Amino acid sequence: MIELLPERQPQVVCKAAGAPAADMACGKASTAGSVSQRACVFCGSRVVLYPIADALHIVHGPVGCAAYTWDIRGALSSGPQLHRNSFSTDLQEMDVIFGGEKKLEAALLELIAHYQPKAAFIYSTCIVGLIGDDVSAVCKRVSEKTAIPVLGVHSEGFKGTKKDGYRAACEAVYQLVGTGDTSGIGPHSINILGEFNLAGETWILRDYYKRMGIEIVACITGDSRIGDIRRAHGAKLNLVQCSGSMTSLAKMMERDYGIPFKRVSYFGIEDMSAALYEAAKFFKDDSSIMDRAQQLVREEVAAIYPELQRYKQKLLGKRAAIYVGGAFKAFSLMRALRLIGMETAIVGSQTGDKEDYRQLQEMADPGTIIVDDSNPLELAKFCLEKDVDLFIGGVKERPIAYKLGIGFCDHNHERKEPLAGFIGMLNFAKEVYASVASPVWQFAPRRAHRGMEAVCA
Amino acid sequence: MNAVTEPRTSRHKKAHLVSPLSQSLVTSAVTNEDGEPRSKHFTSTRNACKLCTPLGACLVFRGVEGCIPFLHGSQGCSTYIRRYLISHFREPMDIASSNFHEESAIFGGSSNFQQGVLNVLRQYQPQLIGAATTCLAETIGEDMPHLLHDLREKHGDRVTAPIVTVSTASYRGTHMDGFHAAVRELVEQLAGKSEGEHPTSNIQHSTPNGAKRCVALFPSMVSAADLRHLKEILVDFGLPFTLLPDYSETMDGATWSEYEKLQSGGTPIASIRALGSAQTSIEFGRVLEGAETAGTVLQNKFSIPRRLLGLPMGIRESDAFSMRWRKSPEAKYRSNTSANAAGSWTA
Repeated sequence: MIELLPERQPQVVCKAAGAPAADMACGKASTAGSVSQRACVFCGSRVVLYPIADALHIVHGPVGCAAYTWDIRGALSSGPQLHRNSFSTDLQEMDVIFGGEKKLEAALLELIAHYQPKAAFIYSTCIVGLIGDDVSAVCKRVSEKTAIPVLGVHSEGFKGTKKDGYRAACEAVYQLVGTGDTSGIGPHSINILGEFNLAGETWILRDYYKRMGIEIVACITGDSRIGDIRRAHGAKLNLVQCSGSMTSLAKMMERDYGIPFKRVSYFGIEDMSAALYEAAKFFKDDSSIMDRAQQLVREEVAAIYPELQRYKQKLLGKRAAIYVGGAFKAFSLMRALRLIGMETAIVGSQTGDKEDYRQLQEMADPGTIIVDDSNPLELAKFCLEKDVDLFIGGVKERPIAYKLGIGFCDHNHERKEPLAGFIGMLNFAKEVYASVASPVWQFAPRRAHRGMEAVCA
Repeated sequence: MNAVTEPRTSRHKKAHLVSPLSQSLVTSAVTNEDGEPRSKHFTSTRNACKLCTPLGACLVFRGVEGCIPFLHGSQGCSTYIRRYLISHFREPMDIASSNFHEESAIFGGSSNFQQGVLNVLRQYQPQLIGAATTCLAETIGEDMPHLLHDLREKHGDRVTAPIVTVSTASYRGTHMDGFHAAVRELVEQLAGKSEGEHPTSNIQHSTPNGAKRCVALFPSMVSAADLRHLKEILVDFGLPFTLLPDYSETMDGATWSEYEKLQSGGTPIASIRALGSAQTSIEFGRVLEGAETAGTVLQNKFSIPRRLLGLPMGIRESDAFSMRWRKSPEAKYRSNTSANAAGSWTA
């Protein structure tokens, strides 16, 4: 039997019927030895900035940090592919002793000369924070020599959690905002923050907003270019999708440029529609935008609804576990699962805050387990206790599900199918159905005795 | 030799056979201080296909029965290595971390290490903890023997499993160095001499000769399928052996009927402990010439002859491997000649 560590108990809540939402412990450093699913500060920065396709991204540190984040998301680019390379200073023992600044400067000059990027990001790793390399000074020197922005990302791994890495990334990218020419940007213009063009999702969203008559100045950072980010301050509204990672950027833009922001999500029919209406409501001066948004939602929903209903019949009453990075995605997933008739039995995130967990408790059905910063043993324990049929997570959760004969849907950055937008909802339902109803589970020892007739019929 | 390998083309045509890549290497060749030619030197790495030292160590530790890898450093190191190995093997890979934060980086990670180890013992009930260091721990000068000493002094009664430590700073070598270092440290810190028969080697054989001294095989970083095949070969030769590491089951298993905290399989710890009385050791990997390895540890500590062979790929190296077995007086398939030659394992 798997037991919870005593230190971990305040971070787990089981929703009781009728009980008010309790305050959960969260937002703290992971318990030593708990095998947390979280990564580090550096990872947070790296995943947020890496989709900027025409920038040079160089990891200042040992080769491991570079190798593990090489093309880590399936972030697609419609043009340059520079971001998909892995550049590093590959610090060696002598560099650690004598300092890595010279090596960094030489590496930057050599790479910038060869690849001609529009900007360069330098990610500091644990070791750089310890040996005290003055990365900012190197950035300044190289920027003067090469005449491109060279931006240090202060992402030393031990300096906090992944969330601190998001902040470091926002601070680095914010140095670009406001340096471009905003002429030609129309009155109905937005930025999308925290959308990373996984499997081409940004392109789906661009199409929706275009059909509504809204101009997208910059998508930060999915399929983005340095030039777009420099003029992002010309937009009238910021829509923040991955709120955990990009809210700090939105707040900085609000403070300095007076651009308001709204939290949105592009997963599921309800949230996707709400995201479009949010923008339409903001541009009140032109009522045709709202008309077009309504028209778009009608068309798109009509196109997928009948098929969704078919999946719903097959999936009715099946139970799911959700464990994702940010809690905001968990909200959308719970709604999306409801739409296809499924219940959420376990829901958790790596980086949710008190407010997120309060909201999750309010949304959840009685008996649902809500967990912060979980680990493989806990997740396995909950999956067994709740006897779930589906796990929604990322690479590290997949084998837990498969070993126990549970269906799995990858909703992390390595997904290959677009899950955003209306078409994304259909893809999601298809993927969930394919996995939950797969006849293969009858051969998994743990579930062998159960009949598959219900779903295979 | 040249006559065989040179393609039958005219001199004029041959120029085109040089690929653009090798051409650029040739033209950009420069010399270093010693006047030796080398290809153009880059300061940065570009798409380097090497990983960091602790990854190799973690893989080795999952090739030991009931062993959980433990990284002394930032949370990210363990999560990245987990993610990488999970993607590769499609198997769960739990790696604990002492999860440094800023204070640990300044004041040392002793309390994190203690808390981490105790939590891991409590949750996983492992038979062994394989503790590898990271850049961060190495650079701030964490003294692992001292940390272990402190841990035992403070919580001795709760430390229910042995802990093997290995120094794996990422800026010193690659995943291969971490791999070999972990195998070496397992042998260095666990192996001892034991008397008589070896009830503990991976596979038991009843052979007419009675008690057998096992052969230690250190196969280097090969796939789970390769490990399985090696075991088949060893069984066919009828010799007791200890294969270290052996992740053929832990990292390549089927679905479960119950949750396994640590996948079953791997080299039994008792077999590693008994390596001090192995009859010989075989190590694969010609690059290990001159390195300090598990084989040299056995050689120096217990005077066990060491054989360094290439990976048995291709006819020549596979023959070399099987010839080694045939020389053993206890092997089932030895030929008459080698039997007459009183073949025992000699260094």
